[in-house]
Amino acid sequence: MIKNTLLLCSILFTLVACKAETEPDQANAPTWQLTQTSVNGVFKLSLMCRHQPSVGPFQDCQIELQDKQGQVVNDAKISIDGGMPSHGHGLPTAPVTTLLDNQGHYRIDGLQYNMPGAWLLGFMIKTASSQDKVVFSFEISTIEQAACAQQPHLPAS
Amino acid sequence: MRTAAAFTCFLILNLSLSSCAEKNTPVTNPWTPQEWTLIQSLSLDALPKATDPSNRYLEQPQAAQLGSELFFDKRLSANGQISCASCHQAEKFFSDGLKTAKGVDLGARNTPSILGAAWNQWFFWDGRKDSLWSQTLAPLEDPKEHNFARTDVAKLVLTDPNYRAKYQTIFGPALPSAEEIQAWPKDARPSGSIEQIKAWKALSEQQRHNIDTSFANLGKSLAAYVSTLQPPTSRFDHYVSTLKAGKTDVPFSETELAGLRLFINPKNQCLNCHAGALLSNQSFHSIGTGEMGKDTGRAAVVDQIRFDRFNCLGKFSDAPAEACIKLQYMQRNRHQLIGAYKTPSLRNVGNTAPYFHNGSKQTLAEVLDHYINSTEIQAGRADLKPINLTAEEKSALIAFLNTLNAEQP
Repeated sequence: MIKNTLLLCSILFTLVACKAETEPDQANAPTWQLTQTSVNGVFKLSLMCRHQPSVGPFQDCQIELQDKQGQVVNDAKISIDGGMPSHGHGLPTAPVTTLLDNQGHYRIDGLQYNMPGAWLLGFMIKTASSQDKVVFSFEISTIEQAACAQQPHLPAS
Repeated sequence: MRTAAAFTCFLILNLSLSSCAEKNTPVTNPWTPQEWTLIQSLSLDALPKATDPSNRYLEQPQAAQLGSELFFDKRLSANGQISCASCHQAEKFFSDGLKTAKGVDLGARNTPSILGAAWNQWFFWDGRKDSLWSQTLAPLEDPKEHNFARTDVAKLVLTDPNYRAKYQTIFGPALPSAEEIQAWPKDARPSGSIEQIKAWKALSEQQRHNIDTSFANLGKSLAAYVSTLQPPTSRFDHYVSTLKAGKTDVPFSETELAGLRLFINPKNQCLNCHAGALLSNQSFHSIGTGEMGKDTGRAAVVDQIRFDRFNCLGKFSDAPAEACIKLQYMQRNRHQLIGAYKTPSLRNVGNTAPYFHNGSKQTLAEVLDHYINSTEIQAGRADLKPINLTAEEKSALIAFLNTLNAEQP
């Protein structure tokens, strides 16, 4: 009995003690998402990223775009700008967007942050009939920076 | 019996969980978990392997051997007196101790130490090169450094029996014929004086390609050698590993500890740029040292990088296009980059004075005074705000910075 209990314990130990290291990667589910209606109410834009924003690596993010009726928008040209107002500098890179599918999803390539602190990330959205912008405001902590500082600046995985 | 077994199980589980949770926070550690995470991120243990997909020879020992011979060869200069090692002197941690570099003429920029250079993302103070191998080529032709045209570099290496044999072992036996090499004109280069450019343009496209191929390969060999120059371990790394091991005999004074505390305190803004194991975020920032009309740093080179034939997307690169993302998405807005320079590593900082891109600060105290008193920073024309430090805090911060120095000369 003791032997069986101890065996069970050791299995439990393996499963529980280092759960974080063995947990399967929850592949494509975004772990960080911001949604906002554009300044003049024309669009609703969701920024969906696989990880919390961090300093160093290229960010793995997508956009989901809808109009004010909730219909997906597939014909938009979306440009990105941003920066740290309190530091007076912009983004370290020039990210671009590409339409992914006909569900209003756009991929973001080349988005990177280079400092912890308060960031603005803006999206200028233009279609044949209208244009509007969305500006997100968020914070990157020094801890996120530390967690990623050792990663080389490689493509988002 | 069951109760005893269950209790044993509970005990084992608890111990196991505790050991996992405390893996990175030893009992003797005086730091909060957040501080400890930050501190560990600055240790050399956190440094990943250096990679460069654009140079397939980066880790090849024969390439490093050829590169080391080229590095110390003074024949690769217009006056026969300058090698890479003239400015990157081993006894000075591969720097030169001068305000600005002295090649065949006096340059405008301070010579950085190249210990750990292979871990950089961009090269030169303004980051005008996107790989180490491409960087190594520029000083060879720079009129103020080696001032030696690529035709002369290629001709010397491909006709020297020792170099030629080594080159063929690494890059294959197919070389331009002896006749073709003989016909390459002296001092022909794609930028320089009118005569130099005319001589370069007079070559056929195939000849230029052959010369550039050899030139690029020599750069890849030099990079293979430079990548063997590891960032030196410091007392700070020793401090982190000692704490990690849960030992109490930490090799840090109270003043140094106070300095480390100041360094990681967000109010002092050090970690905004000097992050990671190299203590550099590998990005470009204005700290109020640019000179309008004279030296605007990163802003002046954004097109040069994109059109550099030796960049990651060029035909001499070994990288697939999708591996060149930092080049593809680099910031090209000059207005954002005026006066911005690459954040230098702080590793070995106490041994590599003077400081800043123009070597304008002789001591670490002068550097801190700049961050405290600079009128450019106070006027908001920089990527940081003025910092406030007492004299005692300055001394402590400098004491900490000196713990980043190499343990061995």
